[in-house]
Amino acid sequence: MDDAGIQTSASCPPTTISSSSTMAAPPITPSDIEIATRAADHFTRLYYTTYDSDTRLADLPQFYRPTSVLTWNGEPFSGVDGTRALIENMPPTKHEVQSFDCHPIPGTQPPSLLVTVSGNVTHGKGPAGNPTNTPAKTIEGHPRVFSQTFMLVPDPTAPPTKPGEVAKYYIGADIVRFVG
Amino acid sequence: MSQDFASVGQQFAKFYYEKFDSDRSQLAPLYRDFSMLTFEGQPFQGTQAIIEKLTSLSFQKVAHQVSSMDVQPSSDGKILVHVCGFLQVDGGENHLPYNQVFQLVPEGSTYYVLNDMFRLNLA
Repeated sequence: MDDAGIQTSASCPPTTISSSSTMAAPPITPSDIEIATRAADHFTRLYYTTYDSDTRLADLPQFYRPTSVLTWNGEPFSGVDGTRALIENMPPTKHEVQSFDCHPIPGTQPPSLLVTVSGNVTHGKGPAGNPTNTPAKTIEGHPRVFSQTFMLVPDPTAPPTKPGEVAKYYIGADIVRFVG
Repeated sequence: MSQDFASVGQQFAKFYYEKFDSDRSQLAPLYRDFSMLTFEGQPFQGTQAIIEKLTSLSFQKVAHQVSSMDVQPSSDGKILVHVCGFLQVDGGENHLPYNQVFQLVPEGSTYYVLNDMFRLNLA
């Protein structure tokens, strides 16, 4: 898949855990960081491609579970049904990711991943993409800057299906804000 | 119970930015040895490395203005805070858009920062 437009910052921190650490959480290993970076990269590409596709109403909810919690510009949604309700009313989108950061979260193996994404999103297809009978007041796309944060949780019921894949993740928490 | 995380998140952010804007070295108690910061794509781990980074930032004065804050519960009592806002540095005219994500972990009667990710949003 083409890399253009995605400036991936593999910004997961170094693994040194000081010996004075008193918490029970197991330390992050280099393997955790490699997993995190790869998984976050793969996830963001897949997520936004799905979001921007014609089949998003069927496909995007599969990233979520009934326990997922979403906030879209302050509006709360929950679960798979909530995602569907949000997507049903969303004009077509085109997302362009500028950067993402990820942290593996200690406590489970494989770890959960905290991922934050910056980019822009254009809603609507603009006049060139509209069918000839489109009403005059259809939204024309202007790119909006967005900031989105995910907590990705390994799915215990969905073992990896591809070689090299470590886990399937679902979205436990999702926060989106348009900026400006 | 469901309101608690929202007010914890908001109180934390208010406290964090007040300290940051007055004396960033006082943020040290908020972090632990295994806390992680990603600052403009650069990773840091542990209180010492994190505070060194924050106190070495080159501005003298800074003011954070929060435009939006979203708070969600995470697993095991942890709290996710997502902030969008503007930074004003050294009294300059530019208000730089930023976003910042914190994950807070309960510890006794307080919370500490396990994860902190900061980006200027110049997209």
